[in-house]
Amino acid sequence: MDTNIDQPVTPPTTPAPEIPTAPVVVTPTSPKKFDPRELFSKIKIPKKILISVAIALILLVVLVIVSSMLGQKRGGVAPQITETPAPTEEPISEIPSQYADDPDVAEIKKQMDELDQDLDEASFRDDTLRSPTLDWKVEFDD
Amino acid sequence: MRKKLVAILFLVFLIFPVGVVRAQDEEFDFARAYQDYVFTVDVYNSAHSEYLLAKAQYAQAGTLVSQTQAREATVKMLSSRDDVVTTYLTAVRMKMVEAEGVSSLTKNGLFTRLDAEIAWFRDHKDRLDSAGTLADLEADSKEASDRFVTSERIAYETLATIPFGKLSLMRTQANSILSRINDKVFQIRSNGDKDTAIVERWALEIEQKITRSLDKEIEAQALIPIFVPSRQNRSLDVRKNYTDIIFKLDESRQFLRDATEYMDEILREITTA
Repeated sequence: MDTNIDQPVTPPTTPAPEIPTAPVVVTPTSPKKFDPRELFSKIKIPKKILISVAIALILLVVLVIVSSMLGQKRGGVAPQITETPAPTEEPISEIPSQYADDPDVAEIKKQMDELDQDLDEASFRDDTLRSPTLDWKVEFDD
Repeated sequence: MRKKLVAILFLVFLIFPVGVVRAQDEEFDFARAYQDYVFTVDVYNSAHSEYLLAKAQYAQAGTLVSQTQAREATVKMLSSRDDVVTTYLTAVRMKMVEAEGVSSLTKNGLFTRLDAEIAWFRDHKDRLDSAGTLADLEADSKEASDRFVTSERIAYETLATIPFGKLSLMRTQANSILSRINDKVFQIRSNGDKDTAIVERWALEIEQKITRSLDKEIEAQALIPIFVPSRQNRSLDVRKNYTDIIFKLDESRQFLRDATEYMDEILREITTA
């Protein structure tokens, strides 16, 4: 019974499994690298088109610069004021009463129109008869 | 036969001049008076230029010839200046003659005062030739200058009075319309066709507007006596007083405009269901 205490405890040893190594495959040649210059060199653009595109680009740049300068001179582009749409009022349909065609009312209306005209046309101030500007200071230095 | 012809010719000559005089009287209106005034202003401007030239020549030369020329030019200028005043006052008078709504009493009072001024300046013009020296002419000019202060006030008083007549007529018209509206509203209420409570309240507001118009006219009326010369208002600015009166009358007119707008609303209310 005493012999078991003095001996160190060791884990049970089991044999490690062998990992099989994969066979190395050696390729005979490496793949060719992509070169864009090679691609462009293959596309043939006519020289005339290239020149005209270049001119158009230059013109565009010049146009942008000029327009920005003009814009600065004029104080920028003025904002366009657009009218806000006013709400359309529904026409109020007035139902005429029995007095709509009354001769007395028509006569009153006529009198009122005459008075309105008088009120508008009457001119109280008379500027044509302002007192004349005359020389009242007649003096001779003797 | 001869006697008959002579008698007919005599009658024709007797009637014809009377007709001519009457036609001339009828033709003389404000437009004609104003034309006369403008013409005399032109004559005065020309005479005044000559006077200034003669005065300068006399100041420079100091000779008897230049003095005589200066005297003649001054007489001419003073004479045309008197003409300007008389034609101006006549134009103002004619304006009042054609004014509507101004009472005969007011008109006649102003006519009397204007006629006195016209007569004074005509008499002054006749006296100018008797002036022997330049000093006499200076005195004559001073006299006319002092008198013109009164004349100008009467002229402006007349001009300020004219619109009162127009306004009075318009207010009478407004009152007449309101009266007819009230009658109509009464008829509608009696028939029981419509509820007239609102319309009756509006009619009261119109009445208030017309009253306020009258108040403004009274305020303007209070400024008229300021034109009459007195110790208190020796240095009165007549043009300013005239402008103040016209301003108040314009306010009065605005109240009448408001009244007519309200009347229009009443009519709309009556004529719609």
